[in-house]
Amino acid sequence: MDRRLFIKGALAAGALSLSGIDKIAAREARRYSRFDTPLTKPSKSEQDIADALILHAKSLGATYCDVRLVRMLSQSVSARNNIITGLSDSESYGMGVRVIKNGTWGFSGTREVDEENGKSAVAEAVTMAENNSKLQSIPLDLAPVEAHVGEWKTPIKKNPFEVSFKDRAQFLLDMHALGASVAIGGHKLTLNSNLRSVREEKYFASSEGSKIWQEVTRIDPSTWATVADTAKGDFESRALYVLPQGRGYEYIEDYPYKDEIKEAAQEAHEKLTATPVEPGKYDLILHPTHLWLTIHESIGHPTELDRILGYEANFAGTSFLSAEKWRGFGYGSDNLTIVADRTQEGGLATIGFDDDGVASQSYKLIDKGELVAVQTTREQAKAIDEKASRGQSYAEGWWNIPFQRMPNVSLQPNPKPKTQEDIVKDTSKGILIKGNSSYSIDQQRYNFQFTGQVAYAVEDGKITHMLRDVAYYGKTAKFWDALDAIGDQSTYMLGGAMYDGKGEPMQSNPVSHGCPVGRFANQRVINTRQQSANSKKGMM
Amino acid sequence: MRILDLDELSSLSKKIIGYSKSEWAEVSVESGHSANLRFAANTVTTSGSNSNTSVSITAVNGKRAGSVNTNDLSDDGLRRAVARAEEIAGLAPENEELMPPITKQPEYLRSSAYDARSADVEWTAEQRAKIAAAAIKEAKAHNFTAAGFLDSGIYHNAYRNSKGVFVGDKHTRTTFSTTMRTEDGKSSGWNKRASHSIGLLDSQSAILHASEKCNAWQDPHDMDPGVYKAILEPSAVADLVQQFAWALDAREAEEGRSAFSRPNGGTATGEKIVSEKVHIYSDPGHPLVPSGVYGESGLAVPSTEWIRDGKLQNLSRGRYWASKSGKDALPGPTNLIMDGGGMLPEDYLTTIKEGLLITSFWYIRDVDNQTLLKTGLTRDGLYWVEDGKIQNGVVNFRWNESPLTLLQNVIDSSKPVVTAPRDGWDGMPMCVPMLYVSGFNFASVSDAI
Repeated sequence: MDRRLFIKGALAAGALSLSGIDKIAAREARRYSRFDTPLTKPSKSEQDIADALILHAKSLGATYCDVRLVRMLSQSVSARNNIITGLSDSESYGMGVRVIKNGTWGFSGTREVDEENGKSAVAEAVTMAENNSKLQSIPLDLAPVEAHVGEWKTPIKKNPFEVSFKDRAQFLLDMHALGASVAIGGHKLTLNSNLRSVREEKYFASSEGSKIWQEVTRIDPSTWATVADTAKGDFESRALYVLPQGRGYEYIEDYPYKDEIKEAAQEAHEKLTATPVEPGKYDLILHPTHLWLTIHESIGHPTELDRILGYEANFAGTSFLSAEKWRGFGYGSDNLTIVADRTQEGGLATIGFDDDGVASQSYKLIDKGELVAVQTTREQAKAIDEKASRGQSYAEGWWNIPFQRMPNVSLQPNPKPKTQEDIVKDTSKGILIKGNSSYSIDQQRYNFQFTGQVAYAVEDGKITHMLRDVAYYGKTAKFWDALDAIGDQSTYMLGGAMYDGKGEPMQSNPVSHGCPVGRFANQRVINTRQQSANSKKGMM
Repeated sequence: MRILDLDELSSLSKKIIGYSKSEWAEVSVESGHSANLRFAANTVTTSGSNSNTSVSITAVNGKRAGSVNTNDLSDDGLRRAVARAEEIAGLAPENEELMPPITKQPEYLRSSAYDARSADVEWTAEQRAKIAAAAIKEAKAHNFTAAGFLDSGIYHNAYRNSKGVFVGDKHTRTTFSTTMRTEDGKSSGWNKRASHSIGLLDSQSAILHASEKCNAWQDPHDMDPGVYKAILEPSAVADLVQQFAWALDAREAEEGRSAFSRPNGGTATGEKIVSEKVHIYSDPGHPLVPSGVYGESGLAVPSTEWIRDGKLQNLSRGRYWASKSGKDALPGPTNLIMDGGGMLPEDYLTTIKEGLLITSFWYIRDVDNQTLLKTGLTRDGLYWVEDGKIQNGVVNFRWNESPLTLLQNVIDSSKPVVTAPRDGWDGMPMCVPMLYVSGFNFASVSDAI
């Protein structure tokens, strides 16, 4: 769905003009407004505080200031087997003040949203910028952005905060009862679930005239089944493929939970006696419930400009791409087209405006295997001679400074008909992997190793039996070069994670990745149990 | 910046309990301030500070509980939060595992985790700027680019229940890490320190270590993946010992879902599971790595032996599982100490015959919980050591290894030192040695630098 359908009333601020896209958005929004209820805003007096603090920052010599008033709401229900282990309701409200003085950032966050404490926060941020500017060698030069006065709200059908705790708890208990009804040979089954709803209410005001209200809703379910053969002391787990999304409670109601929880218990049991994988080379058929995380790690992160510029060298890492040579880099086969999109329906990173006040957009990162763009913020755009930010600035909460975070980064499906069955039929020696489990990649995003929830042998065009202890490893560019078959829209799914960590102090970023099924020719597979035994051989 | 001291946390928690109408209630209160300085490419980048006070309230009626967290400390806000917790409790199904509150005030260990000087916000800001400037100066002197992070925090926290138990605790903590890279990006070195006292960080030593590491790693040699003898620097040891400690759970073990499970509900407790040279324990009162003194439901965190003479001594045990199994509850560790030899790491290294010296680990993830197999990468300095000297740098590897196997393979170790994991949780103070092990499984080459 187009972003235009999500934006309501993006109006000009005073004499400031709107871009063409925003004029269309404003018109479309009036026609297609999806707001069932008005979004929640801070009181007028709180908004006035933001204006006063911006003026105060200017009076202290700041050349830029933005104020975010953020209320983070979170509700969680957790269950183990037939017990609800926790029901909690959380709220955190506060204010983050960001300034530039002497070409240097300063930031302070406080829970005390009033003018007096706000001024202390401004003073702290300005002092920080002044002190740190002594170490500054590259003064900040923000790419220009038009001032926006607008609102945006996640389009949801059923507000998860309005579904009673009782109903949510009962839902998990019912699902666990279904899972427990599966015959697993007398072994011990443990089911764990969590159902979390999150709402971020954010007001952004900047010294450049933007005033933006947003209400972002996300839902984060997770369930996993563990079957233990206690006589032997062996156990296996299988997590459900349900993943967080930027949707309402309708996502839970529409998800095939009832079938999958039974399947999960059954497959965890089956894994106990599945055939150990023979290490070697296989064609990997990666189901979208698995492939999204491979995209996240090997395409999402390396194309972040802050990593390319070395800003994450001390923690999250840099990138195999260089600032000078990234454009036109041959990332993979012609089947590889990747879109960065903060407007994608259901996406966890889908918003109306980023924390620099830049309107969300959709653009190609990789076009038929060639890298054509990277992820930027206002601070970074000029470093690669671009005139405008790509709108990727985000802070986890009021308490931390925004920086470059990943938008939804998705693999485009095959425009021609191609099902998973077609791909399996065309594979003589392969492994089909579903779900994500272990994932690890180096700090420049070359070498990765992943495992799934379940794996199946594919022999002579047929799925034959379950395998266990399967992991594959590879190098990013070679791996994407090997993408030789890709499913069509009918195989497309949206995966994602709520807690993508980056930055110091580390911040979590919710992000989604859509993809179809894909096949990767001739990949290296290892047996994880054999790995466990390897270094014991080295013992003296 | 305004945070509440322990007396204020006591009054606040008492007031909240006073609003409660449920059978019993418990309150946790946290008040803290942290400030950080971040630099990269020899310049400052995103820095900031924040302060917050939040309360967590659990209301209980019978076997039904509801919890609310808020940072709205107004009387109305607190009353609303308590009422909401009670309302949620009314909606909750009965939880047969819900334990009653503890009623007897536990005796808590004394911890020296609070350093008054590190609570002076202006002084710590000055110190952070000085340390960052020193790192950038060192980098420029060698044509390196420096990146790094300094974070100083003051944390006050308290627990109170409606049966009269109260405990307050406070600590300060500063972490500093820095990475030095050559301008062409072909070599990199790193070091990290953490302490409750910014004055005890020895940041200059960290800067020089990172710089030396970067210098020594230039033109790394290729090596084939395989099992090699290895020397793990204390930070790398800290990462894997933390991974080991997270698995020390009695319920998971007794329910057959752990590397410490044994057939028919048994556990490995009492078994020799690693080298007899391994001794791992936790002690909130440890003078070098003081840590939190209370855990779940206000229970005291005791000094605990986890591994002695290679034998598993204890598994942490939640209150419900303790009551069911007829044993005492045992909170998990809030710090970790591993004993070692008598020589400092840098001196101990000179005694090593041969092996791969690992500076730090990155991106550690579970692979197989049955064997505790983890995967991860070496980062910012891997070297071949022979006759006590670094001979050359070696390209990075992905590894697949279990902390259990690592601790089985221990040949010897240095004196333990205060350190911090790179990949793991910063909040856990750690004091561990450099380890020399007879085999470490380097699984594939990583081109990353």
